[in-house]
Amino acid sequence: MPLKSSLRGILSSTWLQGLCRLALGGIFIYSSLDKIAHPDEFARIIANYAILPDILVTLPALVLPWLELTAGLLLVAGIWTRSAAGLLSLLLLVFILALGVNALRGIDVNCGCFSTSASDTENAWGLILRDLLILIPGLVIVFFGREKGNRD
Amino acid sequence: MTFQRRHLAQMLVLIAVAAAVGLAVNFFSAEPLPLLRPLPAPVSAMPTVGEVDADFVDQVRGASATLLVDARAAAAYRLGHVPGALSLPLGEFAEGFSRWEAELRQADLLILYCSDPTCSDSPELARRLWDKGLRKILLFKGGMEEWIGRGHAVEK
Repeated sequence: MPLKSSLRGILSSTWLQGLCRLALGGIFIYSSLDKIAHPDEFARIIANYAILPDILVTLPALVLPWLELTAGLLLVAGIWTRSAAGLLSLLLLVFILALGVNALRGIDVNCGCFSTSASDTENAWGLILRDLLILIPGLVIVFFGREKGNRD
Repeated sequence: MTFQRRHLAQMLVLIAVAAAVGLAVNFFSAEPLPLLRPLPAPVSAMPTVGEVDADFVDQVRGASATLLVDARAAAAYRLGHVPGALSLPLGEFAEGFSRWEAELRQADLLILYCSDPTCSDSPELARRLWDKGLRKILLFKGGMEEWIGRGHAVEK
């Protein structure tokens, strides 16, 4: 299966993996900063998604941005890359789900994706598409990434 | 190539670290969010704040009970502000509020402004002050742009 193995070779190549790490890590580091600075605003945005009960909106508002930042930094630094990419991919799936639920319900929410500003409101389907695009480097790292000392 | 137990463990460690840091930062924050409790009243709980223009501000600014509040960044304030206004940048709200709290609570009237009619710092500052229990708030919507445009004096 030369085609399959050459595709695998490209996907697991050092340069493509590095590119994916920098892209995914950079995006999440950037998106975490404004939310870390304004946890109260971010909590209100999560509340506006109307998915979590009122008493549960502050916990993700406090923890999610730090999760994005630590995982993003690890990716850029090349440490624990597959775990960090896996975690961020899971987060992206959750975001896609949350956006999708509200797009179907017709609730127009402030995204809270890259900032807590109210101007960060766009068409939900466009946001889902954007998240799906960001998911690509995540999955490339999870499924084709190689780590030092990794036997498999 | 498969995901191993090691990766799951690393993911759990990451979640634990993020949770610990996030909760610790909140614990030591000047305005910690309540855990497992709903947020305080939402933005919409604040009624519309009245707006005034530059000439009104000019007439009342000498009165001792009126306090003018500049919501712009400290650097913009230093370049020039409405005479007598104090600097309470939105970006440093927690520090600024604790510094000026006594004056803010004593004033009979607070007039907030930022750079021009489109800036959002003064309406946002109005909301934050409202959350702190302050009620006698007016917005000088035209801000510095209108103040200078009408030929009023600028203090540096």
